[in-house]
Amino acid sequence: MNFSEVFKLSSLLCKFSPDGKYLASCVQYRLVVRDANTLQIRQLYTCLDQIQHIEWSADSLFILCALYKRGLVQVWSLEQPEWHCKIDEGSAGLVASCWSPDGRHILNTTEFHLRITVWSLCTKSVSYIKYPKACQQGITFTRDGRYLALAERRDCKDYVSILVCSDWQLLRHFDTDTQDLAGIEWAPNGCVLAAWDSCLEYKILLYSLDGRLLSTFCAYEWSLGIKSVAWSPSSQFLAVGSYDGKVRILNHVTWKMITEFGHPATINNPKIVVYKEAEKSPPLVLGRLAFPPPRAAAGPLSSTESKYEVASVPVSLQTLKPAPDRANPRIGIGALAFSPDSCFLATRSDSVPTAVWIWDIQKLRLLAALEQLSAVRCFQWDPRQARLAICTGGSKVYLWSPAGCVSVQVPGEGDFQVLSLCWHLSGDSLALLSKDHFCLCFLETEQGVGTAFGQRGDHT
Amino acid sequence: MGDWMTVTDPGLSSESKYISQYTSETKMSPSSLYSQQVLCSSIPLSKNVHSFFSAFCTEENIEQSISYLDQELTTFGFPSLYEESKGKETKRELNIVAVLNCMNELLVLQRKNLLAQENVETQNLKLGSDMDHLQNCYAKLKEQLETSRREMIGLQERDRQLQCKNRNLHQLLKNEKDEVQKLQNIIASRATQYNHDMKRKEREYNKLKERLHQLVMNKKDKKIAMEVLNYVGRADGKRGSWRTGKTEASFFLRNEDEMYKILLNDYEYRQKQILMENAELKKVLQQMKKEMISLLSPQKQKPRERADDSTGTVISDTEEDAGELSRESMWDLSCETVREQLTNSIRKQWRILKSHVEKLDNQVSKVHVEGFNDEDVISRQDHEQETEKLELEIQQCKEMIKTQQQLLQQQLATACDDDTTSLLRDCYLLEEKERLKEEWSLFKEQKKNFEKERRSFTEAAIRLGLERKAFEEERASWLKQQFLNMTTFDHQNSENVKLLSAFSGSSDRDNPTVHSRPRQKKPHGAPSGSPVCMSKLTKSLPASPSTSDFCQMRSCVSEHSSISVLNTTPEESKPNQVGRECTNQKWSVASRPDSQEGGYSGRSSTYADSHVEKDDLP
Repeated sequence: MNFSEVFKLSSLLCKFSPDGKYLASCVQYRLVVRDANTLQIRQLYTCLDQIQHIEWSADSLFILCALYKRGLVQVWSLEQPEWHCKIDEGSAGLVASCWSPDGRHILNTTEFHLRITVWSLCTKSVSYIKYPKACQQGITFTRDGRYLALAERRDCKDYVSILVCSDWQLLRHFDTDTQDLAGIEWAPNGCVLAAWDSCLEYKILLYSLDGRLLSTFCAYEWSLGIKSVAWSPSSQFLAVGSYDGKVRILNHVTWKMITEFGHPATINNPKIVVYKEAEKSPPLVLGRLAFPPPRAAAGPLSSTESKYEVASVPVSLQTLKPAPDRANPRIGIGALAFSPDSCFLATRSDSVPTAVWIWDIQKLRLLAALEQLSAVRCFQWDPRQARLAICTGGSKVYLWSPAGCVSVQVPGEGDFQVLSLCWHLSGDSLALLSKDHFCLCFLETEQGVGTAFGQRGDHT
Repeated sequence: MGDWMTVTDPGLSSESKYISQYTSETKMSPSSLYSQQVLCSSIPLSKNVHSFFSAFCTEENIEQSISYLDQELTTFGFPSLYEESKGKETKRELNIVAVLNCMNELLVLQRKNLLAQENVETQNLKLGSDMDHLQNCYAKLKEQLETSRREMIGLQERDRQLQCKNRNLHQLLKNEKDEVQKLQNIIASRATQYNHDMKRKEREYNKLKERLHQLVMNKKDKKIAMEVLNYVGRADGKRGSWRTGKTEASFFLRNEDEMYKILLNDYEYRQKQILMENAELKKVLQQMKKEMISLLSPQKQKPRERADDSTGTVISDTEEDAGELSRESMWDLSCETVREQLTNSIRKQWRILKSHVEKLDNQVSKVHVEGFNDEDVISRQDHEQETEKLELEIQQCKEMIKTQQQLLQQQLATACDDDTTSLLRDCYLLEEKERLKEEWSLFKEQKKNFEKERRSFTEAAIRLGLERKAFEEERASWLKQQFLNMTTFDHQNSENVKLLSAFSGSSDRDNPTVHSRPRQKKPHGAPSGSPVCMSKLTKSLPASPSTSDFCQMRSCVSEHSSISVLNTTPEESKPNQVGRECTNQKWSVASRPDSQEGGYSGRSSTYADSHVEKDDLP
C-alpha cells in the first residue's frame, strides 16, 4: 500500500472522472485536474469564486463547478481548455446543480425549489421544470441515463414525474400515496422506482417505469420511519434502514420482506467475527518493519498505532443515548451500502456510531462487525470487489474484506484526518480527503493485497 | 387407684347388705325380724364384720337361722336345705349334703363375682384412661380450631385489604386509560390541526412561491443567461431536432415504445432467469429421483421374496413411471404436467424410502426375532455351523466361569474381611447367575428351534419313506403285471385295466389322472394314430405283449410316480420308435434281475428317489 504526497483541497471537493483517467480537486476558486495515476496536473481552471460543488459529466469531458453563493455554474472542457461556459441563474438563486446523464445538459435547481432549469450545451434551448419538491433526494436518473424521475409537490400532494432525458418530455406523471415524500431512487436496472415517505411514517412504495404501483411496504406504524434506502447492484434487493435500528430487505419478486437485520448492542453469536480496533503503543519492531510503506520511513510515524483484535463474544458495543428533546435524533440506520457483487451489505447504526456491521446477503445473517475507536464518518465499497474502506475522521483508513481487516496509518507530517474517501473506478486507488488536504492511497495488485492482508492477519 | 378400691369396697358390701335386708323384710319371717333387731343392734355393737357374722347364729336360734337361710337360699333358687318331708307332721330334717353343696356353690359364686368385679374395675380403669386421652385430644383440637379460626380471620383481613388495593388499582388503571384516551384524542386533534396548519402554510408558501416565480421569472432578468464559447455537439453525435407539434406526438409515441421495450426486456430477462432456475431445480429433482430409484432398486429383490411385502410392486410401478418420464422429453413439456408427474413420483419414492427406512429401523429393533425366523428357512448346514458356534461359545463361557470361580476363590483366600468378601461373592454370584440365566434361556430357545427343525426334517423323511414305499409297491405291481402279461394274456388284459384304474385312483395324491392321460397321448398318439384311452388301447392291441404297450405302461407308471421329474422319459422316447423299443427292451430285460432284487432298477429307483427328495424338500 502506497500513499501519494498530500495535496491541498478545500470543501472536500475531490472526484475521480467517470472513466477513471483524471482526478479533479478544488482549492478555493481553482479547479485542478490531475492524471489519476501520475497525479501530474493536466489542467488548471480558475473560477469566479469559491467552488462549492463539482461534478464530472458522464463522458468525462466536462466538469461542472457550482458557485451557489453567486448563483453561478461554470463548466470546463477537458479537451478544449479554452472552452468555457458560464450559467447565471440570476436573482432566482441556485441551490443544486447536476449533469444530465448525456453530459450535455445541466439541471439547476433554483432557490426555494421554484423550478429546475435545464440548460443545454448543444443548443440554446432552456427548459423549465416546475414544482420540484424540496426533499432529501428528489432527482434520480436511471443507470442507463434514459429517464429522470422527479419528485414534485402540487396542491399539498406528492407527485412523481418521469421524464425522458433525450428530449425532456414527460413520460409519466402520477401521484404517490405519501404524506410527505422524502426520496425516490431508481433500481439499477431502471425498471422500478422506490419512493419513500418522510421519517414520520414508515412507508415505501415501488413503482414500475410505466407508473404502475407494484407494491407498498410498511413495517410498522406510529413511530419514526425510514432513514436510509439502498438498492442492491443486482436490483434484487432493496435494503431499508429505519429509525427502529433495523434494516429490512425486500425482494424483487414479491416485494415482500425477506429478512430483518437488527442491530443489537451486544453480539452473542460466536459465528460473528467482531473486529475491535485497539490502540497500541508503537514499538514491536520486527513484525512491523516490512509493512509500512517506504514513504512512511521518511516521515515520523504518528505516536499512536491501532490494530484490530478479534474480540471474543459476547461483545457489547458502545451505544449512544439519544437525546429525546433534540431534532434528528441519533438513532436508526444512517448509512447502507451493498457491495458491488450484492453479496454483502454494510450498515451503520447511528446509535452505535463506532460500529460498522457487515451482513452476508447470501446467508442473510450478520457476518462481521467492526468496532472503531471513534465514530464512523464514511464507508464505501471497492467498485470491483468485496472490499470496504472506512474512515472515522482520524488519521487512519480501515479496510475490510472477507479475508480480514486492516487499519492503515496515513503517513504525513501532522495529522491527516480522513473525513471522507472515494474509490477509483478500478479499485486500485483510493482518495482520502481531509479538511484541507487529500492524498491518494494506492493499493497493491491482487497478490500484493493478499500478502498485505496476510501480514496484517498476523497482527489481528 | 388404691383410693378407688377402698371407696368401692364398702359400698359394694353395704349394697349387698341392703339387698339382703330388703328381701328379708319382704318375707316377713319371725326370724328375720329378730335378725333385723340383731342386726340393728349388732352394728353399733361391733364394727367388725366378723363379729357381726358370729353374732348371727347362736346356740339358741340355730333352727331359726337355718330356716331363715333355707328361705333365703330358696328365694335365690338354691335347693332347700331340708330333706323332702314325707308327711306333714314329720319334722323336716336338715340335709347336710345340700348345705355343703349350697355353700360350695356360694363360694364359687363369690369367686366368680370377685373375678367379674376385677374385670369391671380394669375396664373401668381402661375407660378412664381412654377418656383422659380423648379429653386431651379434644383440648388439642379445640386449640387447633382456635388457631385456624384466627388464621382464617387474618387471611380474610388480608384478602379484604388486597381487594381494596385491587379496587384502587383498577380505579387507577381506569384513570390512566382515560388519561391515555384523552391524550390520544389530544394527539389526534393536534395531528389534524397540524396537518391543517401545514396545508394552510403550504398553500401560503405555494402562493408566495408563485408570486416570487412571477416576480423573478417574468421580469426580464438579464442576468439569467448562459455564456458559451461555442455549442458542443451532442454526445451521440446527432443534431438537436426542433420540436414541432407533429414531431412531439411522434416523440411521445417513440418514448412510450422505448419504455415498454425496456420493461419488456426486463421482464424477459427475469423470465429467463426464472426459467433457468426452474430448469436447475428440475434437474436437481430428476437427479434426486434417479438416485432414489437406484438406492431403492437393490432392495427390490428382497422384498419380493417376502410374500407380504408390498414395496416391491410399488417400486416396479414407479420404475415404470420413471421409464415413461425419461422416455418423454420432459423438459419440453409444459410446467404443470411435468411438475405433477415429477412431484408425484418423487413423493411416492420418498414415501417408499421413508417406509423402507422405518422398516429397517423395525428390523434393527426386532433383529432377534427375525434371526430366529430366518433360521427356519436356512439349510441344515447353517444350523450345524450355528450350533457349533454356539457350543464354542458355551465352552468359552464355561471357561470364563471357571476362571472367575478360581479368581473368586483366590480372593476368598486372600481376603481378610469376611463380611465384605461374602458380600462381594454374593453379588458376583448374583451377576453370574443372572447372566447364566439369560444364556440359559437363550439356549433353551435355540434348542426349541432346533427341535422344531428336527421335527420338520423327520416329517420330511417320513414322507419320503412313504413315497418311496408307494413307488416300490407300484413297481412291484407293475412287475407283477408284466410277469402276468408274459404268462396269462387273457387274464392280463382285464387285470391291467383294473390295476390301472385302481392305481390311478389310489395315487392321485398329487397328480390327477386327467393330467396323465393327455400326456401319455402325446408320445403314443403318433404310433397308434388315434387318441384313445388306455384301456381301449390295450384291448385293441394284439394278445401278444407288444413293445409299445410296455412303453406305455412304463411311461404311465413313471408319470404317476412323479410327473415333474420323470417327464423327460416320454419325451426322450418320442423322437423315434426304435429308440423307444430299445429302451423298452432294456427295461424288460432289467426287470428280471430286479424281481430277484436287481441292480439296475434299484439304481433307477434311487435316482428317482433322489429327485423326489429334491422336489419335496423346498
